[in-house]
Amino acid sequence: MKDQKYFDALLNLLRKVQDIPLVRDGAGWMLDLEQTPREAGVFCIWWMRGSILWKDRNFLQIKLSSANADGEFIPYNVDTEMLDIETNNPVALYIGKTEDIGLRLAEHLMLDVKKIPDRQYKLEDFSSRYSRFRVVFDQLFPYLSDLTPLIKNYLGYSHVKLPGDENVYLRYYLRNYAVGTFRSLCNIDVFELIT
Amino acid sequence: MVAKTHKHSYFVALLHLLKRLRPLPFVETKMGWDLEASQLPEEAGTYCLWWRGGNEQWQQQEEFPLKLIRRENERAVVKEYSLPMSLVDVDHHFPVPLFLSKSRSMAPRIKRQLMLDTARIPNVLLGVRGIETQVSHFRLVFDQFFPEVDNPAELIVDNLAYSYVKLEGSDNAFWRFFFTAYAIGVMRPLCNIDVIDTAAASLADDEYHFDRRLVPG
Repeated sequence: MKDQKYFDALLNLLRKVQDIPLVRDGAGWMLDLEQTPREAGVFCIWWMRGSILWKDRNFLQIKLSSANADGEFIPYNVDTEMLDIETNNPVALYIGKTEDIGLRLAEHLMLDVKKIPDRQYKLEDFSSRYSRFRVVFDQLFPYLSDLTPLIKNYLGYSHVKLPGDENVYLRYYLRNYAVGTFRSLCNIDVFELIT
Repeated sequence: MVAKTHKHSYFVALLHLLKRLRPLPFVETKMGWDLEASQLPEEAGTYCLWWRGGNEQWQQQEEFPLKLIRRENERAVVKEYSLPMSLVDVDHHFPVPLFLSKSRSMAPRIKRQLMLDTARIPNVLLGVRGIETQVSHFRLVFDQFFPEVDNPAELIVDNLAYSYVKLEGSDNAFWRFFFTAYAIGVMRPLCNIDVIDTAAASLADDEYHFDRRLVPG
């Protein structure tokens, strides 16, 4: 039996935040895939440097896929009290599981896109082409037209390698445990079907 | 209600409530077994389905084969995995958590998850994501545990119980989300399992899975 201590030990590994390795890409930057693990596992994107950008706000407003009967999306207010931002510790923003940590991280960071257009998000936006992380993250800073400097200067990441098919369930349960424990803001999904 | 100020202890308290099992309100009709939805909570919250009988059923095997879908090169591929029972808490003498989810209205969701009007999920659907088929994710996995049984719905009537925690209102939408994730990680319900991992660029998002509660919700 893999007990809770085992999961807590994995969670502690996931708390070891490091810089996101970047390389020049033309005028901008991209994730350095040679410096990131290319294995299966669980990863976490963190807000690393201070909570100044969050502190002056009592709540953050994000629009998600939850739609009312007329198909209009519902803006949700996230009480910042829910997030661990009083301390100066890094804030977990997004936790994912993947078969290729480096590739998935690059897909989520979308460093070649300055801002995800603000519009009505649909379910499809959260499937293949869009990064759930960026869809939520960009909404936290509605006054910015280019989020990539923030990503480059303020974010870090961490990971736990759990390779192979035999770890597929472990990845699933650990990801959930980490999302529930760290309360990673950009994982939020409030879509709930009623019937 | 439990104070939310101490965040982790709030979740621990909710988890304690979620371990309080209740009988499912089964009723026998001319058409077979059904659920009396009026006896289930209508409110929003997190609920769990349990195997309340002994855990012999689950202890006798070290692993269960499960067919689940994954994406490879933009295509959905059914793949067989082995669920190692060492991951799941079946060693203890308390009931086995089978499926845990959140909903804005629990009664209809629980009814849809149980699908008592369906004796067995057709084999052709095994491994197909509930999100695409409107089939209960719980039943997609549960029925696979009993390949020899013609009518897994009967097993449900004989062996299942449920529990819930009310977390009402859109103010609680985020608590429902984070608490459900936490509870899945701690209780490791067998039938929640979803193995959609992303293998390469532009495949399905790692978030776009059963956990989204489109069907389970």
